[in-house]
Amino acid sequence: MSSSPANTAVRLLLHASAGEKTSRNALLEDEVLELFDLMRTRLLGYALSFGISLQDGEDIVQEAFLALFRHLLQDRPRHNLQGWLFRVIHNLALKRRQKNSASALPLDFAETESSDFDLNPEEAVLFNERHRRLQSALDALPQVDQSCLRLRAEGLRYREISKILGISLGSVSASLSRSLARLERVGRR
Amino acid sequence: MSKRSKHLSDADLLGLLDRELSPAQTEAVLQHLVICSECRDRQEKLESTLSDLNGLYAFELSERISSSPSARARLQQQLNAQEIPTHWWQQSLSAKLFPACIAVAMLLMVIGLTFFGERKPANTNAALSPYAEAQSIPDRRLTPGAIRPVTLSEICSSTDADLDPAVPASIQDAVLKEYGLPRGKQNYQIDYLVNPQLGGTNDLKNLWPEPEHEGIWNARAKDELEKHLHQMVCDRKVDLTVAQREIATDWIAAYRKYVRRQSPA
Repeated sequence: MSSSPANTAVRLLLHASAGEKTSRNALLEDEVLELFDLMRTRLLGYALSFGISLQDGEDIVQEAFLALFRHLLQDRPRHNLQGWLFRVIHNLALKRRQKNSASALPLDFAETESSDFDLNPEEAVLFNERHRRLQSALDALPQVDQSCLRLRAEGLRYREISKILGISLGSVSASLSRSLARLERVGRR
Repeated sequence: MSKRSKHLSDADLLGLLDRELSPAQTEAVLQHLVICSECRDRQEKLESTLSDLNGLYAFELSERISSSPSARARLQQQLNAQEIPTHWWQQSLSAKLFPACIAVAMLLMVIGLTFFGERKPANTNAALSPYAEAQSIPDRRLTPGAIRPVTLSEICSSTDADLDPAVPASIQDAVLKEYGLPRGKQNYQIDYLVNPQLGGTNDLKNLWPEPEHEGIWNARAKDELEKHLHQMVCDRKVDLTVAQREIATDWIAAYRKYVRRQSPA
C-alpha cells in the first residue's frame, strides 16, 4: 500500500519530534550532571547537617537531582535552581531524619586529627578544642537556626533562606543574630 | 539601628556584612561605624565568629565528603532510565489529524513568507569567527571544570587577587600532553577554567592550554571576565554556583552575558 505525501510528512514530523525530544533530553541530562558536579558537595553538606548518615545524604542528593531533571523536562521555572535544590534537599532531609531518627549519626570531631592543617601539637590541641566547642554549640541550636547559618554560609540571600525554611525575612535575620551571639559566647569560654 | 539604642544591633551589622540592607540603611550604618568604636569592635567579633564557623563547615566537608565518581555514574544511570513524558499534543496528533495540521501550518507559512519574507542578515563579525572561538574554549571531555567547597564569605573576604596562580610544571606538562601539544608550547597559558577566586582548583579537569595573546578570546579577555564575575558574585548579583557553572560551560558566552560586550575591547 502506498502512503500519501501527507502521511509521509506525518511520519517525518513525528520522527523529527522524537529526535528533538531525545536530543533535548540529552542536553538536560548534561545540564543536570554539570550542576551535580558543581553542587553535590554543598548539598550533601547541608543534608548531613540534619544529622543523617552519609549514605542517606547521598541518596537524598541523588533524589533531588532526579527531581530536578523531571522539573526541567516539564519546562518548569529555572530561575534560581540553586535555591530550588536546597529547598528540595531540606524537605527530603527532614523526612529522612524523621524516618530514621534512631539511626541518626551526629557529627563528631572528637577523633579527628588536624594534621592536614600543618599545626604544631599545641596548636592542634587548641584548634580541636575550639572546633569541638563550636560544634557542640552548633548542635545545640534548634534545627531552623542551624539551617539558617548553613544556608547563609552557602551564600543564599535571606529571601531565599526564608522560602526554604518557610519563615519570615525578619525571622531569618533574628535567627542569625541570635545564633551567632550564642556561638560567640561559647567561643569566648 | 534601634531608635532606643545608641548602638547598632547585631542584625544591623550582619545585614551590612551580608548586603541585605537598603542603600539608606547601609549609609546610616556605615556612618555610625565611623564614629562608634564599640560597634566596630562588635563588628569584628561577629566577623571572627563567622570566620570560625566557615572554617568549621569547610573542615567538616573536607573530612566527611570526598569526590565520588561513582555517585555521578549512579545519577547518570538513573537519568538514562527515566521515562520521558509524552506531551498531550504528541498523543493527539495522530495520523488522522496530521494532514489537516500540516495544511494549516503550510498556509500559515505562506502567509508569513508573504508578509515577513525578507530574512534579516545574520550578525556577522569577522572578529568572532568560529576559528578564533574554537581555540579559546577547552575540550569539555578533558576540562569540564573542578571546584572545591567554598563559601561566599570565604571567596569575598579573600585578598588573593592572583587570577592565575602558578601551576606546577609537571601539571602543565600533563595538560599539554592531554591536549596533544608538545611540552613547553609557547603562546599558550595553562589557565584555570573556573578561576580560584570563584572556587576553581588546580585539578587537571580545571586546566587547559589557552592562547595567551592570539585572537580576541585569549587569556586577557578571560581575566577580565573573571574579575567582573567575582565582583558580581560578591555583590550578590549572580549566584556563585551559576557563575561557576557558566564560566565552566562556555566562558565566551558568560563574557557576553556579564561583561555585556559582544567581544573584548
